[in-house]
Amino acid sequence: MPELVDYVVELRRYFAGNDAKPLRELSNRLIKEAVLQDNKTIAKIAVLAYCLHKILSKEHFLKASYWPRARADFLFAIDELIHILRTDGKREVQQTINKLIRMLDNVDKNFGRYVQNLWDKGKAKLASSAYALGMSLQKATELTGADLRSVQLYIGSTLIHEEEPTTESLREKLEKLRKMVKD
Amino acid sequence: MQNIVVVDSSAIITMSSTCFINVFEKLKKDWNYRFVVPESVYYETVERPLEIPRFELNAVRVKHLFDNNVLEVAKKTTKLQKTSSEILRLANSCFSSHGKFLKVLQKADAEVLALAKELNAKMVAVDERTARMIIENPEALRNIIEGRTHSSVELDKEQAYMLKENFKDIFFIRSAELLSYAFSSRMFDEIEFSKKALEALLISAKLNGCGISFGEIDEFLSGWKNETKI
Repeated sequence: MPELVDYVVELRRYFAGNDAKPLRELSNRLIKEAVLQDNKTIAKIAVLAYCLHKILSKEHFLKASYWPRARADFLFAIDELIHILRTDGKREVQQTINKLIRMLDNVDKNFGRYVQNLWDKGKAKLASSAYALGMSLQKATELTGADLRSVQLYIGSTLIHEEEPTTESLREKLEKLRKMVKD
Repeated sequence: MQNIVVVDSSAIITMSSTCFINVFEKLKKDWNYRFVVPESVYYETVERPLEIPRFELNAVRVKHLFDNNVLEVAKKTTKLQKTSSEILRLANSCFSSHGKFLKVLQKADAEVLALAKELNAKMVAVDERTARMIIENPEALRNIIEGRTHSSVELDKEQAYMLKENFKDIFFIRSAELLSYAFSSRMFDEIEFSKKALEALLISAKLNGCGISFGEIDEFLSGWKNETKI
């Protein structure tokens, strides 16, 4: 099983190569790993990979005059994270991840076009993936730090519930409900 | 003693997002039931969203129901906390993958279930599927987890049975059932009594996160005939 540092090295490679799609795929693999291991740090890296993929997919981010500098800063901070993970500095891992989140927030504040910020959107998206994988809504939001209502609304816009079996249909439950409340 | 429905955050969120949160008041009168939530649900549906501009209005609407005693908050007791911890332990030891337990429920889920058990509730209203399925059909939940994580997942049937035993007399419903009941009992003044209106109501619940599929909605609506009860 790959270590967290291996995933961050992979993330760096895709980000440095402006490869948005593999970053998205990495984010999917990471959230699955976070669910199986119940690991919030892996979940944060999954959200980070998702947000970086989003940035690389948007021309208005990439064409901004600020972007080359921001990109270099991101790469520097990711290298720092890789170094810390290799030297087992547990406390510094969270600090460096938080630094990357602040950098994302800055880029988003300057160039984003939505009211909901990119990091919050990423958390809701990845929490919905954790829910799709079988976690409860509450557990998925705890893992990613997302807001419960944002996640539920996001789930509503997906097809997650389409492929799931029903123990009793709406009709059967409604009939049972009618009998119960009449008793 | 009045019968009780314990309500999860997910069902309150669907009801408030579809703008039919007042259904709780109508159902309470019609059934003479109490709608009760644990403190964690109050936090998730009122206190926290009041701090988020996007959800502030919904939180204000939900708060109004609590202020008017339509929805009630149960006080956290030592007994409730103990039951909640036991339910969480059982639920999170039902599934394992490669020798490691999968933690599928969180404290707030367990509090809803524990409250239902402690109050001898008749029903639990929950829209998200995991807390519901782990009681109703843990094998199907195992299949979902295994199929989507592409990892081998074991179900400890004994743990699942012990968990289920706690809720054998409790009926799990979703906002889809609550809304359909209210609709068929003509509790909505603001929408016409037609198949189209019912369809719109259920699709809105689904799009706001209620755990129901389009197929289930279609199947339900296929039995509808105008002017007759569903």
